Amino acid sequence: MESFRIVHYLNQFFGQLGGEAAAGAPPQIKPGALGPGRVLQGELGEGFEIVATAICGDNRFADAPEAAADELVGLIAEFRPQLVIAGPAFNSGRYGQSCGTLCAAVQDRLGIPAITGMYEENPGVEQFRRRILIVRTGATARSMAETLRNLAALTRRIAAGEAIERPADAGCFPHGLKRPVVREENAAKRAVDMLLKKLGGEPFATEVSVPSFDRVAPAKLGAPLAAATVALVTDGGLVVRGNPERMPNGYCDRFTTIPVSGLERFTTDLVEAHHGGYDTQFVNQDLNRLVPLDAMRELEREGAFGRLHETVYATAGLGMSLTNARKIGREIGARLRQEGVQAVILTST
Amino acid sequence: MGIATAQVCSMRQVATMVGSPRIVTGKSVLHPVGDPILDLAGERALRRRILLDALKALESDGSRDAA
Repeated sequence: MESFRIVHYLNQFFGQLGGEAAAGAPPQIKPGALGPGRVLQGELGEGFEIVATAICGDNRFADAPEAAADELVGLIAEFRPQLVIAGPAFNSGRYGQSCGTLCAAVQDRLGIPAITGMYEENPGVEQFRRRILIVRTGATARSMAETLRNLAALTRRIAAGEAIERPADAGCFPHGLKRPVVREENAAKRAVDMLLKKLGGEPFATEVSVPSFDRVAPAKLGAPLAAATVALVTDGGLVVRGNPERMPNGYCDRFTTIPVSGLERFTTDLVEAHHGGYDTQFVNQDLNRLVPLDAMRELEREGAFGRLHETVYATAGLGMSLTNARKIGREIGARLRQEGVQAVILTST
Repeated sequence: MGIATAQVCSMRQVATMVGSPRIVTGKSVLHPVGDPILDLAGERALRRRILLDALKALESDGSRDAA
């Protein structure tokens, strides 16, 4: 019996052409499996064959995605595959784009399924999950072995003619499609049943998922306010003038610090606001409109609280992932705790 | 054990949705504790009022929104 024919797509790095210097490599194809494709072939075993490996440099693809995809589809068609597997791309943005664009083009033009793998924060997920099956991966190639196993498992199901009705059950990102389903009982009964189960502490399955944000129990002020050290923190992108730490204006995974010991108010020669998510012109006229140093000093003198902490912590909140928000929050919290701070006023844009 | 925090922001619904405990209403997304149409004395007074609300919120147990 003939093997199930697969073509594998890799970028210049995994396709063993080189690193960044080879990112301009043109679309090309080689017979057999290469690099991670060899491991994938091992996972698939008998009855499956990676008949060829298509490769293209990430930059070459990014410069003209339609043209690159077209050329690759042409090269791939010669090998008459029944499935194309691209990547996996993990969290790599450009590679994710190439994999997603190619898979969509293969499905459209060759009428065969094409699958890939990406990390949840790869922009390619949101862009392509509606059109192609994308296996969930870890953030880096450290999860390569597990990902290849998952890609192999999905391949076996596709080869067996299985229709993957619910991608989430196959370790993939949901397509985000809504399919009407007729239930036996009406919604009122189903909702009351669900509520009774929930109140009774029994398991129940929701029909609508909402993103869940972990609830953190609010910390209480440990000391009377009049004795407390209070710190100012902001997500409005405050940085030392000139941005010496090269803080990004969004998608941050770190924070910066601004010393304010002995400083009565912010002036534009000392600090600026660097944030791509809001028009910073007003705060850049007077940074105290973002982090109220002047008013805090006044209240400090009046004894409204103990003392103002000598460091302001800042980051830019634009497009911040929940993962990074938690990480940054914990890190700032740990530093403040170490520095003897009892309370924080966070000013958000 | 965390650090008591009051958040001055304008998008209250977002803050509530993610569970921020002591939300104090800021002036605007573009200038949370300022207002370019006021003179400096007016802005300082505005900042002071917002901060006093924030300090009061810090003293609460965080189970409901402050101001």
